[in-house]
Amino acid sequence: MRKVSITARLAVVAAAMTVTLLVMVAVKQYTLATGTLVDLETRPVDPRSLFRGDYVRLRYAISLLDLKKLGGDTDFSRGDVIYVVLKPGDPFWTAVSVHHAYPVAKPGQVVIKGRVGEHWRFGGGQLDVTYGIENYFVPEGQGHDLEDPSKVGRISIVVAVDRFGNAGIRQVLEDGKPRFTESLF
Amino acid sequence: MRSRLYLKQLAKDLPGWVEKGWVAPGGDQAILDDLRSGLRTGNIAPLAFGILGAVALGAGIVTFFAANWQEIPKIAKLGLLLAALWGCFAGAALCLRRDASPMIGQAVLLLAVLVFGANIELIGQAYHIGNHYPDGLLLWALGALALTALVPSEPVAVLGFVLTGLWSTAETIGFWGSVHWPFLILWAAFMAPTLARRWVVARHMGFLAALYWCGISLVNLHPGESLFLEIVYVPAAMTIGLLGAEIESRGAETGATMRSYSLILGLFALYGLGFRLYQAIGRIREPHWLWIGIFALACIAVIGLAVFRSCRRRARFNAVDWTAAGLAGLIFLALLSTLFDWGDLNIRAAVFRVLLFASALWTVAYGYQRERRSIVNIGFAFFALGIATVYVDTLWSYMNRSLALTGGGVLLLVGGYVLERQRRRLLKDWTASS
Repeated sequence: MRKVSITARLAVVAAAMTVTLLVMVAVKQYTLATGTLVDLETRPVDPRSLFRGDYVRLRYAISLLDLKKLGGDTDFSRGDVIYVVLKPGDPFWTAVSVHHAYPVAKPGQVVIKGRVGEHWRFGGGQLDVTYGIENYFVPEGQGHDLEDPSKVGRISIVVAVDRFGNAGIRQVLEDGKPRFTESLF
Repeated sequence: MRSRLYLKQLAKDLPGWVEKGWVAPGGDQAILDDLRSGLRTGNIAPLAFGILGAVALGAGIVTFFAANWQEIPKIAKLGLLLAALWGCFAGAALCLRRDASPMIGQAVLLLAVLVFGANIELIGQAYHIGNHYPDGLLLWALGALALTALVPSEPVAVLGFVLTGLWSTAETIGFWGSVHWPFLILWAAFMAPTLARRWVVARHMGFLAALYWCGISLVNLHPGESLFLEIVYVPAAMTIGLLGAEIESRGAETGATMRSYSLILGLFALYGLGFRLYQAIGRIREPHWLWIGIFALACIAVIGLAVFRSCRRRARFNAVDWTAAGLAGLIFLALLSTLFDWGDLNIRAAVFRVLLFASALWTVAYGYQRERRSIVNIGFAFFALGIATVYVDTLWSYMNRSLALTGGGVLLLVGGYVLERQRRRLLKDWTASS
């Protein structure tokens, strides 16, 4: 068998790593480009970054789901991947039902994929859910501003949700006007 | 791999053996030459400095991006990060091609994997990718695995085991809610090239990662479940130890490593079982763990018996071996008894404490017999841990708090002195006899 040179083997690994990194970006861009835009009520918490700058940790109204008010499945465990059906509201979208498998949504509704952080069983059951849209990196020094209501107006988030349920933050709105908008470049 | 120490000892012994006629004149030099050619040549200083340099350079690259992050457009960030990655690989290729500078090349490979990890983090930041963060660690570990398997690289394998442990920790603590079994798949993927290429440091790191996983798996479980998991650990450790002895008898150094780490796992599990009993009895929420425990015990018993018989065929059993067999039988009965509700809880916990002491003493005897300093040390360490625990368990409850602390201090000082003296004496006797 012909021996593959060390340079070729290193090139294969470097190419595989590069493709992996580009796929990460491509998947996110696909979600942002093709996803249905959904306005979510949010509350920024605890802005800081390990490596640089600030990031805003976000909690949404749909981060805590009250199972007795929702349709769908009821028994969940920590770490479960779930699908939450959202319907448009005024001004924010709200949860309708929660499921283990990808459900068929009614026209105008959107299915967003999440992961169960905790399932509290008291009072009919509550789910703490993350959707992969809980962190948003902002220019240094602006994280604390976003957290302080006296310095900024009402913050809300426009999220793009693709047909697989993946979500990405499209815009950060301040009093309904775009403050940050995501783009490839 | 023969050590320089062994070679030095042999160089001293060979002239005497030639004189006694055991080795033909001239044969001594041939033996030494042959062994010297098998020794790892070169100085490891370039590798050590190279690895330190790689870590510093990796930190420098991340810091550079951090300091200039806002001024760089997104697409340029992506380009710079990928250029840094390819730059590392190009550097590694230059060093490793035709063995130009293999040790520095290995350090640059390590840097490439560190840069790959930094890229995952920084691209995640630039594009706000926040999906399930342990996946980032998994991706990082898979990058290390690709390099370990294809190039190959021992420092990267060592980093790979660390990343595998971090990934499993993130999943276990944050999300999994049970034992994170996928760890074993990635761990085995790193272990395969490690064993095939006889990497010593990576092998130890691999077994350390496995031990760490055994410990972290207990953290997240309901006490009833963790009790059964610890029950499984004991016979699993015995089986791994027996397999290790079998492999060692065929001349593979891996067997000795397996045996040492299996002793740590087994003694750790015996130590923990005393506590788990208190936490778990009467609160077993998941009955399927009971059946998993019984099934695992049965499987491991069958495997253990088979290996035991195989070992017995190879050599005559001595007193230490027969003691091990008897002890294993007693431990097995004690473990089975935990699956049923009987007797006073204090007595049941005390049974495991006694078994821990007996096993620790056996470990010392075994290490002494096999002339393995590390095994003697393991036995002494667990014996001391057992003594300290019994003291805290019992006297603390019955004595005045200050008296208990004073007594504990004296016990630690005197006990530590006596144990250390005993350990040194044993090792000295062994050195003198060899």
